[in-house]
Amino acid sequence: MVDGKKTNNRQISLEQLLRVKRAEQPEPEFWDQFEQEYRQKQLSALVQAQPWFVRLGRTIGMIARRSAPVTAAAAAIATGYFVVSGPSIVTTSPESSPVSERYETIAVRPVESQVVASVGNLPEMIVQPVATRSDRFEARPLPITARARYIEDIMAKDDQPQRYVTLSSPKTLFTGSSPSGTYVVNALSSQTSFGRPSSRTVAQF
Amino acid sequence: MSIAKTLDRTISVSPERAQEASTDLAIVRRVQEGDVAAFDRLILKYRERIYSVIYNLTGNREDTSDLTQDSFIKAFQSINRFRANSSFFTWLYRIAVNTTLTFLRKNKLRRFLSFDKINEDGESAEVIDALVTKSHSDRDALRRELQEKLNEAFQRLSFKHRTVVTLFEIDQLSHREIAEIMGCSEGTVRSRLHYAKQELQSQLQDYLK
Repeated sequence: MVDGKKTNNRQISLEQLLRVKRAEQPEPEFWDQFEQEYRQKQLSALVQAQPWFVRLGRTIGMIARRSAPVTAAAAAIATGYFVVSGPSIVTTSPESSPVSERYETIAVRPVESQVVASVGNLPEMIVQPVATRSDRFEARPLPITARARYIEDIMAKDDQPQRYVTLSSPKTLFTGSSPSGTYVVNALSSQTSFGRPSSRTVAQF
Repeated sequence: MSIAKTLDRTISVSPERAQEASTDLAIVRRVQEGDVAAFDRLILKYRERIYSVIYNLTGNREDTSDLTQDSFIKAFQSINRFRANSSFFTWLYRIAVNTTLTFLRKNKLRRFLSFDKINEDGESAEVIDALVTKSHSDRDALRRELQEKLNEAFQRLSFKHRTVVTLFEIDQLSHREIAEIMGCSEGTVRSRLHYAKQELQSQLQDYLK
């Protein structure tokens, strides 16, 4: 045997030396105590408080499970109410709802002598200030924010203020008829809510 | 141990080990299906080996007792997550090694506590006898001294080197099994083993002459 020969020659290899470590084992009686301690630890592990994130996750899951029918019922009622009420209560976005739906009266008449600018090929028109439907919402503001799209304001040239209407936020317009020139539209804020609209009138082309 | 046996360990997992793995898996399935008492069989089967691994990693028999219990508790708590992608014993060893590593990181200042006695089998008794003859010293004193020197030398190794030497030389696992436990390649295991042995050789040269 190779190992035996080595030992007889008193040459000990590292591997042989390490075998002494293999012999380091506890006495058989140790395992009784080990088992007892293990059982105690196992039981205490069962009743030990879990970390906060585990408990939080479990609580959220439990709430979600319990409130699912209530939430579904509430959602169904809300959907039904909005469907029945129609767009007079909810106007989701200006892009999806025409201006005429949002405002009560639009009065447009052709420009005669006051306004001399136009936007592209659109006819020259002037918009009369009218009361908007949104005025009515002041009494019962809804917690919904909408974006005003059509804003009327002043367009000036050569210090002569002239009333005009544009379709979007501030931009530079080029006139199509006399007097020719560049007109700058100073639009009002494009952000508004049902409770307090920023535009006074709207244009419809 | 014969060279052929050592070589076999370096190449593949033995058929006995494969058989053992399938027996373990059957017990694990029972535990997963609710027969929690079946886990006791796994404890009985592996407690000595897990204890030995942890003892050689910590060098303290009292810490070892706690860590062995903790490892089995962790294994029991996570047994439903065991998907049999590896054998149960490599999974259990991984838990034990990781539990020990976490403990050692938290407790850097530790004292070593070896066993008062060792269960001398044929091989270890032979080694001690040879050393006694060589040094003409008292057998018990030499055995205690050797134990302490071995323990010290082990604790000077890095955790990864210590783990590789423990699993290969003491627990006699194959390179592949060690690689699975440590989550590295077999080449890395071989390389770590080589450097760890070199270091041990230099630290224990008084006994190797």
